[in-house]
Amino acid sequence: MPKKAAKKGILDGVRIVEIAFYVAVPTAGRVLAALGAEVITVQSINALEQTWLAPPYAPGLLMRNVLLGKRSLSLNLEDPRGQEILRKLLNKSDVFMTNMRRDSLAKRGIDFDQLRKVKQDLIVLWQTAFGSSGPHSDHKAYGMLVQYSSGVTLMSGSPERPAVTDPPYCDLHTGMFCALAILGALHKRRRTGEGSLIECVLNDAGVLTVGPALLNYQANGTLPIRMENKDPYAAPHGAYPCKGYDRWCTIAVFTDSEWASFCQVLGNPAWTKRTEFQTLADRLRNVDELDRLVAEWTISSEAAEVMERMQQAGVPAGIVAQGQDLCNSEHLKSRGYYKDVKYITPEFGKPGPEWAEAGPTICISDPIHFSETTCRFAGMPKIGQDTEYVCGKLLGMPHGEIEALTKQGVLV
Amino acid sequence: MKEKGKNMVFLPPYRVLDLTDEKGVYCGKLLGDLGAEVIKVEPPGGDRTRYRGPFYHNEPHPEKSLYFLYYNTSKGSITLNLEHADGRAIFKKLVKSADALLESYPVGHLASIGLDYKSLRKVNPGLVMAAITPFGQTGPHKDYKASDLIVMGMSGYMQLTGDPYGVPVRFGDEQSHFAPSQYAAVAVTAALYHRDANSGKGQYIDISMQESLNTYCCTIVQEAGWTVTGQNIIRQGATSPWNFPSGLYSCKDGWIGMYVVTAEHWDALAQWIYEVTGNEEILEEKYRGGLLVRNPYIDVLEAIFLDFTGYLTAQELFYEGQRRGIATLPVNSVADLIADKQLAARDFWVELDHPVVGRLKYPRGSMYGEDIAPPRKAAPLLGQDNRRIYCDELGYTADELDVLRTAGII
Repeated sequence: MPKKAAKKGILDGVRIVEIAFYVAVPTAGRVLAALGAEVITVQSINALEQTWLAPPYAPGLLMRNVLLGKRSLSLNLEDPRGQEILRKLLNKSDVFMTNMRRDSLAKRGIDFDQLRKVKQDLIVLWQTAFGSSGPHSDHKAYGMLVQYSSGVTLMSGSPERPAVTDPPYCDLHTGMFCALAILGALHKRRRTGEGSLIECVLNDAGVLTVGPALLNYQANGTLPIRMENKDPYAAPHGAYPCKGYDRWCTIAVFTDSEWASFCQVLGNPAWTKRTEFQTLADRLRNVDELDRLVAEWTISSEAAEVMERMQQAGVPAGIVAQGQDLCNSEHLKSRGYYKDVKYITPEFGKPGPEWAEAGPTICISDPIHFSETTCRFAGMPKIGQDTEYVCGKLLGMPHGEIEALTKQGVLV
Repeated sequence: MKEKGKNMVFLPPYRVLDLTDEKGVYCGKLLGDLGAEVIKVEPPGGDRTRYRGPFYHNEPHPEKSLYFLYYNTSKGSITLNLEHADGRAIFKKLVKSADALLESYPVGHLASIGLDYKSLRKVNPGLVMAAITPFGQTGPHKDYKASDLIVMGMSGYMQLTGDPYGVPVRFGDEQSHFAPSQYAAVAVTAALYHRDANSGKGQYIDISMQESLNTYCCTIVQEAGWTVTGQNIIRQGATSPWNFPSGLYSCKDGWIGMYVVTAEHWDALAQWIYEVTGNEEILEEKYRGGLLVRNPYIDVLEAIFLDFTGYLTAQELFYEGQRRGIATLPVNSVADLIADKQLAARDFWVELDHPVVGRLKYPRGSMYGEDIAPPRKAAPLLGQDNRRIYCDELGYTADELDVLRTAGII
């Protein structure tokens, strides 16, 4: 891996403690770790999250994305001694972020106001599903479900059937807001010396992505129309079938000159000269027929070939990329987007540091390319691999005490 | 909390010059809503998106584009012709007092008119400049033309959206524009922190929309799937083949979303299904447990489940499911959101007044805190800040401004 010497991370020296399940807050942790922060994720072998089991592919593989670049402290927060260690650690940290529910926080003796009283410049970020107040404040949700409640599902797919997206859509939006909130709070702390308590709300992050439709309904009483891949400003506009199983190429023709180039790529067949396809308005009026004719042409070519020929002619087009395409993309490789890392395979019943490593396998890095500072990339930690570092080096606990607390089920 | 915006200290009033089109317009909104002074630099005829529908009362008009109104809250507007040498000279004067610059031109365009980072850094070494482009500033695809749909396809996101045996589907309303703007907002905020806390120097940030949206595929990592299994992952559709229940199901009057991953939640759901349907099979031991346990039985369980949901409306399932501690959510329309009790109870909607379209409700944002104010003002009128910036700040007289206007520069 080429390393440019002496570049610094922006958040070098900032310590963040993360206690979070699933995707949103851990995504913020991953991004902030890439910016240089020391992110200590608190886990316990006794309370493993379900994501460790999650298929597909291989157990542990999915956790990799949310743990990259972090340190791992194993700590049993059910035990008062574990809670005390957390309080000491937070007292030596800049940021605490969590998505624990109100009752879980109380059960573990975590009180945001109390923490902030003890350390006034502490930045606390709490991610909730629907907000900590209001009639639905205790409702349960997951990022993948919030695509339905926040409104974006009813803007996707066909009129008969809304489309669902597999990724935990709102978690990512929320995770990025969490990262932004913490950066904002660091700005504030630098200027005022004060900490912050910030709440980031999953459902609200989703509603933001409904966009202008929120105003359109208020102004005109209009609800979004689901058009699948069609577009009110472009035709052809869609994913067209290509040679092979489940292979598609997207094409979007907005302007008249793009249409002329598009026709040229097809060899100007007779149908492109028909009056019902001459202007954008014509093409939109006859879009089903148009899509059928375009698909007749794309189906006999490889998706990548369609893309390249369109792009060479200046027509926006791109394959619907699959795993293989992404892994082998010369473009993404040339930008250093992918890295190889090992991942940890869960072995239930064994202490975290004894779990086996597998891989290496390809992994995304962070899509921010800075000219002057570095984005740090580090591997996936084993559960508890940094317990000695945190308790010994940061908190000054003697080695004997760490060993004893491990045996007694506190540092596990 | 509501009045505190006046002395907001969360994000300093950094000056951000916003040259972006649709691809980066959300970034400036995020920074502006958080407290930065974002100035949209528009060509004299107005930004292209002012002519983009939907329009207020369906009247096409550059001040009535609801698209423009949504994405430009908390921003100001000046006009300036960057294709003209005099316009570029004025732009460099603006850069002197700017903290950040956002742009989304095709790669190399700003360099071709002498406004690339190298040139602008000479004018202002503290400048943070972020470029948001479909495929980034480098690499064999850097000059590829793209739109939302193309980025959706090329990022791998589209492969994961829609039904497995149908066409891959574009998700939402230009979803590919959100992720890159979020990364850009994080990167710019971080770079400004670095400048002010450490180095005193600005830097250049290259954001690729393809890469940004690819990270939003997140746990469904197609790349990992390919490298480990040698297979390409296909979109799963409304429900997951890996867990039950997981996804969107039909019910008496529409759809309901439900996701159960823990043993406790399953027990609560099984009991509820039993109470409604009287079907004892659902209580069987082999179905009990967390993730993976029910995978071999998804078909039979789904049949029982759909019988159950067929008795109840989405609202009944939502409220009773949540009462029983199960993650159950309805599918909301835009109308449902505007009427939503929870959003209303937390002052999610912020009314902003606009001189042409009047008052409309805008979303507050996703972040709440003592120093985080709601969006401060509605989108700007075209060139509404010309006088303030050109005359009050840069010292042009009213006559000079008229000359620049006549020359098509402002």
